[in-house]
Amino acid sequence: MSVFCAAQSAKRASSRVSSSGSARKSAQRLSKYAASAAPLALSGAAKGAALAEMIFEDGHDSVAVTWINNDYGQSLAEVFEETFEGDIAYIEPHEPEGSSYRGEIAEMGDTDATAWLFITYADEVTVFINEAFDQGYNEEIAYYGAESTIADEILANTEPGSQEGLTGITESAPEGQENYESYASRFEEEFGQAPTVWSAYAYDAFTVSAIAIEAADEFTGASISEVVRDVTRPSGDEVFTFEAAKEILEDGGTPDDIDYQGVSGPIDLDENGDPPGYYQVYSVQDHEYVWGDYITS
Amino acid sequence: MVAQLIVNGIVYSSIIVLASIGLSLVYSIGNFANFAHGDTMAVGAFVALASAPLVQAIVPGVTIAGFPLWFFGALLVGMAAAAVVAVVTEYVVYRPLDSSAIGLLITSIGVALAYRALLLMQFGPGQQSYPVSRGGRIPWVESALGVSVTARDVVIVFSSIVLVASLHAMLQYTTLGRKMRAMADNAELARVSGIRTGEVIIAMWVIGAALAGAGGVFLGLDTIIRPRMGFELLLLIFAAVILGGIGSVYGAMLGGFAIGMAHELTPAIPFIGTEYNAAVAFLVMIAILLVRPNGILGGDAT
Repeated sequence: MSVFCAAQSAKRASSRVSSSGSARKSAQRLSKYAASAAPLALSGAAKGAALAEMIFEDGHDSVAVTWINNDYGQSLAEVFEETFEGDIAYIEPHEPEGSSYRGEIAEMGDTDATAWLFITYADEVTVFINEAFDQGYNEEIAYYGAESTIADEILANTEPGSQEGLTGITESAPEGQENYESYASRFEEEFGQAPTVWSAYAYDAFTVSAIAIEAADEFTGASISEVVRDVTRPSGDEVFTFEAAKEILEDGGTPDDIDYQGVSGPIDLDENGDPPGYYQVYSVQDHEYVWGDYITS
Repeated sequence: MVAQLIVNGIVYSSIIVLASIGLSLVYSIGNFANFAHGDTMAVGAFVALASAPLVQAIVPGVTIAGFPLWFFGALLVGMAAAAVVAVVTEYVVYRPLDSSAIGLLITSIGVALAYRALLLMQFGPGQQSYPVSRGGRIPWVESALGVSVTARDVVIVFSSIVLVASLHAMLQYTTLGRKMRAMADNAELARVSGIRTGEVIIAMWVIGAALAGAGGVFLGLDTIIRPRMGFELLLLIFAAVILGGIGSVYGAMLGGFAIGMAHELTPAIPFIGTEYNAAVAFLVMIAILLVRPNGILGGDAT
């Protein structure tokens, strides 16, 4: 099978839509589709938990959360609410594409929260940041975001200084990791541009599916789903390609002998078929994005 | 918090009022519900944005209380462009079609999609903003009253007052205004008594679309500029017009103010989340219509 096909469609999917949130959903849908026998879904659960941990460890005991009123916002907010160890002073939805969020800002400002988390998309967070700046909240409150509150257009349409210190986590390709670098250079040779992180997810979704199909006793959903977790877990030898996995199986190996290492980061699928979260921290310094550490959850 | 919400409400209402007037004019004189009105706002906002570099070069770099003078030039360009687009649409689409009120309503939905598609083709789907720096709070208002008011808020509210006052003067004290009121009251009678109704309809489009364009520019100044900006607001604008009394321009102003205030004051209502602010605005509309079924000023003369 051509794994690059998957990567290519993922790339198309992510370049066609403007906001990274929809790109994420497209990639998610694609990877679900690609691996319908082997549920390798990008997990919002891990991200919500990672955000909760990061904000608490930054010393905020009380947080106000505003989330966009759709599946994306709701699922992330629910996980955040369950996992945040401090006090959640406010956690309410806002409507997409609203023409003003001053009401939400007034309610968030009315709490004692020292941190505000925006679980929303680029247009909405731009309005939030601008209107909060109009009322001076940027000086008192620490802002947090996720993968959809980082975009050059947000910087272009907000006042310098209005989101200084905004910190978030986003899906990020593990740059510097050997198998990712070789994947990226092959991708560039083929398509003339750098892969996005969604391309890497799609590549891994296809590769894991292929290995699981190869390892399964028969080509049915039930027997593939029995082995799909085993081929990603740390019990076996680390493999980086489908070919290497196939060699192990042909030498009489079992699914447990394979530990596929994804180009997008660690894959170790859990009970639900979710990979662990693997994110990079970013923050706004002098009105530019600065990349920080990678975190896993 | 309530004082701040009232300030927010006044700013938001100004935008709704400007948009409601045009919709009400088209309803009373053109006799149909114009669904392209929201996208006319977006046209004004985008043309003002596109004209900004040119206007900046012509208008001297003077600032009034920290707000650049050229912006008012771009505002006028945006208003003019919205008016031209509406008049061209009247000549190219509505007049040749000569359909019923329902036919024109459906047509205006198509016109709305066409405006939006053209904006998308020209400017792309992303968010944009006017190159006007956001000054933040005005310090002395903050210390005196404890509320945050920005230079933008002041510009939006005062420009809206000037525009509404000019419209009032035009309607009450000019021949064109009297003709417009006559035609809104009874189009047949106006025609019989020698008023050239075609001219009045053009005047209606120019005034209504120019005010919508101004509303769009202010909405863009207040938040961000994007192709769907006016469409997202259209339902609230319709609510304002219905609340004010369909076809009444002064009613539309009052309705716009009431709807805008209800929308922004929602956080002050206990047990109701802010995400329901549009629902609260519609409940206010229903409550008032139960008492006054023709709207606040419905049934009275325009």
